[in-house]
Amino acid sequence: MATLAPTTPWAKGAKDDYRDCPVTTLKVDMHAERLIIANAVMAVVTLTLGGIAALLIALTRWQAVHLLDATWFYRLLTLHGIDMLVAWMVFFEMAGLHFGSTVLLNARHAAPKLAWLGFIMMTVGGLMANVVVLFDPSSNVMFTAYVPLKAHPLFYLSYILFAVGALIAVITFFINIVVAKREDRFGGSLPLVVFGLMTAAILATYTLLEGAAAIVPAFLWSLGILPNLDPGIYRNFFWGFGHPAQQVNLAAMVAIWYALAQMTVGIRPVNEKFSRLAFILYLFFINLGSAHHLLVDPGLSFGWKAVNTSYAMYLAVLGSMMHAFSIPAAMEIALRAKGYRKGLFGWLRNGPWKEPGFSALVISMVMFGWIGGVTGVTIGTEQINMLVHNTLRLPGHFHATVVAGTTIAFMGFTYYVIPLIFRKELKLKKWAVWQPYVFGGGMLLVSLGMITSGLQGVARRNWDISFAGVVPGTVDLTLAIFGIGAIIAVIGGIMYVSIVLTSILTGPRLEASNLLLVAGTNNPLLESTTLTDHQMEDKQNQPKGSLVLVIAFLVWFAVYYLTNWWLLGRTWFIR
Amino acid sequence: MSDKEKQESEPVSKWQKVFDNIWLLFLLSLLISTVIYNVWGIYNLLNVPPAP
Amino acid sequence: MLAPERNWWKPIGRIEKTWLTVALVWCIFLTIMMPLWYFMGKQNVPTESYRTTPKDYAATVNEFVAQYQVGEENGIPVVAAPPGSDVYLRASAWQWYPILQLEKGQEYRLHISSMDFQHGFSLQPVNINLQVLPGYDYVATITPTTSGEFTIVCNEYCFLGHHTMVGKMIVK
Repeated sequence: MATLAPTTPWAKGAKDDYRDCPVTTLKVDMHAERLIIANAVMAVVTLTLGGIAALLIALTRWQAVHLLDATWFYRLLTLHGIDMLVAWMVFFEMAGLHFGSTVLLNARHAAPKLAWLGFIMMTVGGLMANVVVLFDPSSNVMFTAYVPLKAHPLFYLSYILFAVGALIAVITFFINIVVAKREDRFGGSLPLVVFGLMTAAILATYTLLEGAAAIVPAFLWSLGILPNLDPGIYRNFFWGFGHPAQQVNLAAMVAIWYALAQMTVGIRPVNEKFSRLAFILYLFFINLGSAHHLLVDPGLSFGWKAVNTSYAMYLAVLGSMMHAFSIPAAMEIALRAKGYRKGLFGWLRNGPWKEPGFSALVISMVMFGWIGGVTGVTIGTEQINMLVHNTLRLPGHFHATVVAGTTIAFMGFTYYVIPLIFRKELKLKKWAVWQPYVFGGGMLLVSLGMITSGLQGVARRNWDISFAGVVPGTVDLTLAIFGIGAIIAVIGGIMYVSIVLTSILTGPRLEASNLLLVAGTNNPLLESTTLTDHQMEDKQNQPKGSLVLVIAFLVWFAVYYLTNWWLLGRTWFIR
Repeated sequence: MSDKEKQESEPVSKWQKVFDNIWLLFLLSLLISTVIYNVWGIYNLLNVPPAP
Repeated sequence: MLAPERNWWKPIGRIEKTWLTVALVWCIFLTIMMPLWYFMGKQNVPTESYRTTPKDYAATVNEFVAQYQVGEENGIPVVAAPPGSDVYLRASAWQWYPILQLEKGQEYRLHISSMDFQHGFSLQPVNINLQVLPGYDYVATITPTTSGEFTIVCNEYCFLGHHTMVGKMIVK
């Protein structure tokens, strides 16, 4: 049974600087608290920058509006990629790592100075990237900066600074765990959420080392020190950074799903072995998915493409499908144990839909799985990728995963960080109730609009597709759906940023008094520790509804996947 | 002895220990990714023959 | 979020086992599809590539154009080579050169390479997409199964004229 009380009392001494959280009874190290706050603030700042760019870009690709000129479109597209995929995600994850290696382990932050150095480097790198792209015309190279597109040396330097800073922060995560073990702060295994964050940290290490292998030579080439870079080798290393970066997001998101489920519904993991095995499948195989970007590249063999793109027999995908069952199943058992046993889905109907953490969790899981995951595996199929590469179907896929998936989960989680770590009252609570739905709804249209446009041949990263003169009239409709969806999503984004800024900038510092934001005064986190083995195994509490949900998911998956093979079979012969 | 006390005194499964071994998992993760994705991929690229 | 039991290595439940089995079977099916299609399907990702240089490739393209040119459109040569030939396409910022004229139902070895940046070969409305790299000659053995005029859109960002990089392929 899970316990809240620390297994070893903290030693009183110069090293310990902490407070007791009145709501969770966890100990919060003050260095960790400040680091979490700093990283979370920078995350929201870069999200805002990226979000402004998003609105302007979307209103340009929506051909009927076509807002920006070509130069500004490509410039803001570059910025959007950097601020969202690199800065927003990684800053938030660093906050998560500082949290997971201290607060959840009953431990102190053992390397705060190093962590601050990492944070400063990330901030300088991130801001420098924005400045360079905004003011240097030659640095309009997209976040991928594919060699031989050459940007200003400071462009590459900003990536390097950011990446090294992030790597330093990741290292402090591991230092904290080692010190926590040595100081007997916790006994036994890492909690599941920390195990998930650790998966993210390990993947992040590979990611950042690959980034160095791609960007450092590119930096030297931009300075004229290296004469020539092979574009194929650059792509191998760049995507060794770029795709695993998304898998870091995936692992962190899943860890946060478990956390949100425990905080809003009071779950216990159904089977620790099952969930941890799923994370381990990520660790071993998920980085291979980098090959998704290279499936129609010259020089690479079928064997390499097939083995890598399948994440080794789709074992990493199996990991995701395991979590996709585990989390709803855990919620179902917890809710059934509370008495909501009517039919297959009574438990789901009676979930706390007004609680932002719960709605964010569910919307994130559904969009990530049903749209992001299904499209991802499908378009990552070697041959099917020929229909997809560099069309708008690609951003359609990854906006469902990174934005509708990870970003919504992170946004939902932020609403708890504010009272529990920032120790400010969450303001604009009514907005918070609606925000996941607004943002999720907007992103749904964005993804669908992009996917349907891409299916019709619309290219990505393209200022004006009408130049091609081939796109059917229906493209105007699908791009409009994308544009309208973007406006709704941006409104959702503005709601989020407003809630965060209003809450942290106004009002007094206030110790949190309640875990749930709107749904009640009970404390699901504490309740989860009273869920007995007997209740978990009770026949009346078994997760039959969740099984139906995942089977339905699989049926949809099969339909989408097989349809794409059928589409492929109708095109020209090629080999 | 209650169920809980029995559980506390049983030795931890060796597989659980493997799952708990951060450094082993770290090493395998980096090794598998680097060999199957980077090394094999770059080997392919370096072996592209010159145009006839 | 909290400490697990000391001994959490327990057998998985019946419903989890069911799902795990179903999901694993699906993964195996997904794995088999790619090699299956590789051997039995007619649409596969090309695997033939050669190293070249922009200078050498440009020379080969010029020879090819000189040998088989049959016309011109907007300053770009229209080139028709006999079925079974090697046909060449050159990508450069911001132009596809030349305009290839092919015959429906016939096989050709299509070579693609870039003179400068990375480009994206996106044949519309067929919707076949390939990556084009400088220094690599990518050979796709194609058989057009539909006739008409087709557009080649560049779908890899290649600086500011990227969206104007639109070419043509004719299939009679």
